[in-house]
Amino acid sequence: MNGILETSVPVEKITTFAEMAWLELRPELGILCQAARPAGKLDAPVVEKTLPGLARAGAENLISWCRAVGLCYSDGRLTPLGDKAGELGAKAVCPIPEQGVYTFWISTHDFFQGTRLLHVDRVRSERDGRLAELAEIGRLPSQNVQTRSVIEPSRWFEVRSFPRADDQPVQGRREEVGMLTLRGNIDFSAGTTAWQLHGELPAAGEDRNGRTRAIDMKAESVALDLNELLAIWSREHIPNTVWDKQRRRLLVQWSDVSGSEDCIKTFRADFTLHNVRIPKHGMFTSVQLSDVPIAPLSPDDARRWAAHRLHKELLRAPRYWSRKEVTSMFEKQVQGTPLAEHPQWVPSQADLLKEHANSPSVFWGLAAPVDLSPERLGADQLLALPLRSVGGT
Amino acid sequence: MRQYHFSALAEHPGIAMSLQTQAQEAMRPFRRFLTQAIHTAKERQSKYEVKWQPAPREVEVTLTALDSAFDIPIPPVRYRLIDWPSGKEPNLNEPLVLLNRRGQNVRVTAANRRGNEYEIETESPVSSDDKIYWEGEFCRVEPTSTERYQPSIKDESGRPVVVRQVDPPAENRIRIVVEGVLSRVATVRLDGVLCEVHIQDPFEVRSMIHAVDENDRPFKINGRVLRTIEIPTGTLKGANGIRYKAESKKEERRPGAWVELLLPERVDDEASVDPRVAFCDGEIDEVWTEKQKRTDSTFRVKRVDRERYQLLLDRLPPGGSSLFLPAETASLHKQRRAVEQLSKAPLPHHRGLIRLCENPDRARWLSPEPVHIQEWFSLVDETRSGTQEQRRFVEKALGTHDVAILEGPPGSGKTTAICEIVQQLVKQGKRVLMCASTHVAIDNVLERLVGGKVPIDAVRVGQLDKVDSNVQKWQIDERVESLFATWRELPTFQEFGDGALREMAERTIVLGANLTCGTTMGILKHPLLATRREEGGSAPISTYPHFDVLLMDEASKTLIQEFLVPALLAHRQIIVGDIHQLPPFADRADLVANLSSIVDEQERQVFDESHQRACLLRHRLRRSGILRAGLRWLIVEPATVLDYLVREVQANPDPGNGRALPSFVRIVRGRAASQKQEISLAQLQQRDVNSLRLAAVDWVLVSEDIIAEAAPYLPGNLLFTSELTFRKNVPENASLLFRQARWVDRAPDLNDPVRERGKVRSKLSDVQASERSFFTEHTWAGEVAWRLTRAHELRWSQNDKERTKLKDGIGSLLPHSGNERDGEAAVADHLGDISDISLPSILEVLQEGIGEERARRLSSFTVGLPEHARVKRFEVLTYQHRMHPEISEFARDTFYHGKALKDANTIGARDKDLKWNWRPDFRGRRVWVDVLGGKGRVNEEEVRVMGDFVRDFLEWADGEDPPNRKNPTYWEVACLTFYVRQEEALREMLAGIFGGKPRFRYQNRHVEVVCGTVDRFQGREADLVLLSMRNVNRVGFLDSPNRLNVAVTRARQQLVVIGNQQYFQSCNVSELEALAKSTHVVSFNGTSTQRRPK
Repeated sequence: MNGILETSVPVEKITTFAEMAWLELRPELGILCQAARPAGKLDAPVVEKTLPGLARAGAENLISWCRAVGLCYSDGRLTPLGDKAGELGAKAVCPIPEQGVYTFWISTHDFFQGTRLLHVDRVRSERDGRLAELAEIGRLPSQNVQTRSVIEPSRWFEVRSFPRADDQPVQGRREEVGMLTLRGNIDFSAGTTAWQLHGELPAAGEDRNGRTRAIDMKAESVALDLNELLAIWSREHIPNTVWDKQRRRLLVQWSDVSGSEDCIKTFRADFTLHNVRIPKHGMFTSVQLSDVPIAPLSPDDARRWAAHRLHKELLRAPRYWSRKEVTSMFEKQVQGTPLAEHPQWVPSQADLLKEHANSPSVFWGLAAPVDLSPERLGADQLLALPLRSVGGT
Repeated sequence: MRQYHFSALAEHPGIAMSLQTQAQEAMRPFRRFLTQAIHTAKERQSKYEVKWQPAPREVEVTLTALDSAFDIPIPPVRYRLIDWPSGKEPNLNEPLVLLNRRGQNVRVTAANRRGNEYEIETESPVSSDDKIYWEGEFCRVEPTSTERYQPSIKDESGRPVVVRQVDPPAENRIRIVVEGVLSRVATVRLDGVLCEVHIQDPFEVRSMIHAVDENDRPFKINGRVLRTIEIPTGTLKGANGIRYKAESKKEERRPGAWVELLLPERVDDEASVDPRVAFCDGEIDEVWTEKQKRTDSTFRVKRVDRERYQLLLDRLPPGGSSLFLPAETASLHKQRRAVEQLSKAPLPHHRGLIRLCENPDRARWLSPEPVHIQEWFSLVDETRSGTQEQRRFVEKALGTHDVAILEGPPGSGKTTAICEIVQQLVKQGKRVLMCASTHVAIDNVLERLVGGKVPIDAVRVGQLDKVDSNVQKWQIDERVESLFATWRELPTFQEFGDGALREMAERTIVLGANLTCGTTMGILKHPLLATRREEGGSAPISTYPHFDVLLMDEASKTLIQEFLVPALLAHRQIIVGDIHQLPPFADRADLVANLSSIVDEQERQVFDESHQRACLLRHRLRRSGILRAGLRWLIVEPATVLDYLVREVQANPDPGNGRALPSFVRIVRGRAASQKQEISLAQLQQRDVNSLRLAAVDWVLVSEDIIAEAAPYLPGNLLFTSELTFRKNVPENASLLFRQARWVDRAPDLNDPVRERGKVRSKLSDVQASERSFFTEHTWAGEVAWRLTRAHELRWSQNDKERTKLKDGIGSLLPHSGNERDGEAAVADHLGDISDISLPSILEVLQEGIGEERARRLSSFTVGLPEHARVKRFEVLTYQHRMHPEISEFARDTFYHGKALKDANTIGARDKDLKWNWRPDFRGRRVWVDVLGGKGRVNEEEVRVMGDFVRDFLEWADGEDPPNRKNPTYWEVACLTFYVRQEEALREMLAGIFGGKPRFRYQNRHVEVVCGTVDRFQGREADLVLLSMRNVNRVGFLDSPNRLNVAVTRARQQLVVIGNQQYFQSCNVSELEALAKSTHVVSFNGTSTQRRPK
């Protein structure tokens, strides 16, 4: 069962002065953190042993640098970033700080649980604006979070701070730029989600000339309670249904599926829902659910469903059906399906004939074997018969 | 985007705009100046041209023997006994008698029967030609083997040893050479028998060992060290059979060719700086053999020997070529980037530098934080004079939020204070960047710091061969290679290629260093200053405050824009220097080039060369003594020059000397406009009445394109400002030339001669020759450049008259015609920028400013720090620990007005231990030897006298012990002068005393004699300083108080001034007069005269 969600998310750009860090390959620091991992701490003996050739003073200075870039705390313990670097070892990337004016492309949507930093451009413009253009920015991109660019997926960065003198508010420019599409692919069976942004951002720099840059975002996974999600959606968007959390299927009324032979046959249905919500992750314009497993909501629905399946089977292959064969065939239509979870009765001969009165081939195919049988069937054999094994899907 | 930067660093949004404007205004002249300088450098491409000659240099190659030699007794040789009677048993007690060798006896040591024959062994060899008589029998012998002896040798553990050579037997022994180095007494298994052999010393030879390398080139080995011009290739094979591995020092292994730079003939007689210094002291990578860069005429510089003025080039240049020094722009570009960043994109940690751009009276100056130091590292002796001052400064420096300034006169302990500051900062965990204008200053501090109490991890940026050998191991490339070599062996790093591993090593070293140092030029090569490729030339210098503090030593020799580059990398700046010593070296060639091609910010020419030439003519020919009755001039120049000249004269009628404007007439080809004082060529040729004016005017102007036609009609009583036959098409037999020459020859001498620079010219021919020479050799830019430089040198002088004269001279050279782009104000503006920016140091501007009357934009860069901010950031060291009190007295009174250079209490104790007693007959430690030498570029008499003193000193030192002190362990003598030519002569003199021709250092037992100009010797000191004045009847640039201060403050024990004392006593320069009058006069032979009263 899969779901594809989509929604539009607004994009803004904020231009301001900041201290950034670009994550670049630093094998020597990765190797150092790797060596520190067993003790969980970076100290001078570890440095001297791992990177021999440095004197004690140099080792201490290197640790200071690691502290400054966020690989370890003041007591030498590795931070999560440092631990990650240690895990990667020679392939570790570490933040390399710098200061300057940057354009931050951000998107705000509950799905990002705040603001999502999409990309950062260094601003190197010769054209000066006026100070009057600057205003207090307010909401700022999150700091000290490692983020991957959605324009250049190989680039990772983090915002370290927004330096300003004497705790002055951060001044800059904020502009709305347009919209991007946020699309999520949910594989309910595997329990996985994959989210991506799609669309284009304006090119960087002053002289853009209408050029744009395509989003090239690596899919990200977000942990969601998919079972609960379907329960919510069924409740809020699919009337007369109930999501069976235990059996992970949607219980529907017969009347809602009676028009779809495919659903009746496969016990699967597709839905398109609009303006759905994901708890704590905001609203989505639409979700297309495909291959949703369905089952009858009530015994009556189940009974009708089964009868319809029998009816269709009889119509499909008109021939002489003995009572026994009808029973057997009905059983086959029910067993192994959600229909078997409800009490099922083989329709009585009279009901069958009444059902198929307008289909002479089926009618006579049902009547003749009974009426012309050399052995007369008992009346009770012609009544509605309960199925032998009930409740197996 | 500057608004973002300023809004981030402003304490309040309301002041961001003001800061932005002020920074922009303060930096504008720097930007303009650097644009000019870059433009000029790109145009001229090269500066300085010198001749050269090959300089073969011996290199030292260390030899290691790869083989061992030893000798063994000659093994017994077996012989078959021929003609021996069958059945007779030989008697070993009887020797063989060799009848053909005068009966020589040979003992038989063994006899063994072999079938029907006997085989004998003898003690010494016997030949098959020998006639043998043994036991009464005549017989012969034949060796049983005809092959030469091949020993089988194994070591103690039975492993075979390779035999490389077996010499023929000699004196009963055979010499064997085996592979490998055996211990002196080795035990070997020789032919199966264990025996002890004595290994011969592979270098112990009575005569030279001849050897060849793998290319069959011959070498002579005479010890473990081989001195050779060519480095051997591969292994050397000695004639003694031993192979030697040859290893030279890495830097000496570089292939290439050494060349020695020759002093140019055209060096100005007044030059104080040798142009070769620019080749050797700068950070140069290449030289050219043409004025402009071309691939095939570019030679890479691999190494520099600054003492010998030698370069190691990648290959030998073509014979007869000259070497041109590229006018490098890399440092100028970086300076411009620094200026741009400060004005457009400063970072928060630049707040202190931005404050220097603000109006000093309105800036908010933060008070330094109080600092209490628990432990002192270098300034430990509280009883030592000056320690409290040094400590006070250290506390100010540690507490400042922006800048701190230390003024340190000569010998005042600046270096010790700097060492203390560095150690305190490092102890606090700070990262320090240290810069100075010379390598010596940097390395002095570094040598004292490393290995001290506070653990310092230092990295020295700069070319290895410029770094002192004692601190070379801290040089960045050395450190990188060392770390790389260590890591290369480790399994952890096996997956990395060499390039990647080196980058990792470099990063580790850079980040691990808490002290990074380099010269102000050399530091530009620091990896942190490498530009991100995608940003190109507009990249900011600093993107992060990598350093907490910049320590700038010799800041009195550092220009503001040079200072800004490293300053941008740090939060705070500590500036150390002495404004009473020499200012930044103003490369005259650069200054002239900038002035020749003045451009605006869009690189459009502002003041073209023709206009410049016209101003030069006007200035020169209107000066007092030249513009007078009887001196009339024919001025032949390109038409555009004459156009400007006419405008200039008409624009400024009063030259300021009481004379009216010169009268002139210009010959033109077309129609003449009489109101323009023109006569047409036709009128001239037709002898029109107007042409009579030629006989009366002061100047006759004729353009080059028509002079040949006009010449026959011109009067002969005109002096020529230029040679007419060269490039002006006037034939050599032109009548004008004869008529004029005749007139000049017969003209009477001038009653009032023309006097200039000590020369008196009364003959017209001399006057003409002088002016002609001037106009050939001098340019407007050159004339302005030397005046600007001199005016700056004299800014502290009491010689107002000279300063005024220079100022007037510059004024006289400025254009008086022109518009707002090329008129007087515009050009003066540019000159102001050039002199305000290219001459004063950062220390000077912050301490003193450039003068409010010149400061069009008020900032600390123009008017200095305001007093209330200065006192909290400034300290002066008032004690000196170098000079004997009799030497320091003069400089203290004259240049420091008693406020500094006080004698420390350390001097007495030092001198007591030292026991200096050279020339007690002088009766004074500062003496003058009165010498009247000849005029000219070299004063030979002073050279000779200095040589006498050097010999005298050497003789004295020969009878003395080395000086009783830790460092240096030898007596230091400095032979100084002010002029390059005189320095050259002094060097030749010293070469004559010591033999050979090294350039700089002469080490003879425990005396080292160095030679140099005063300019180059700043920062150094010696026990004995001999100072040659050279000039006998003119002052020249000796009137620069800063230069004189440097000259007289180098000596620790004795200063001997050699010069024409009588002249200097009344030379009209107060400082020189004071020196001459107050210095005790002696003669070489010890006779001393009474000191004349001051």
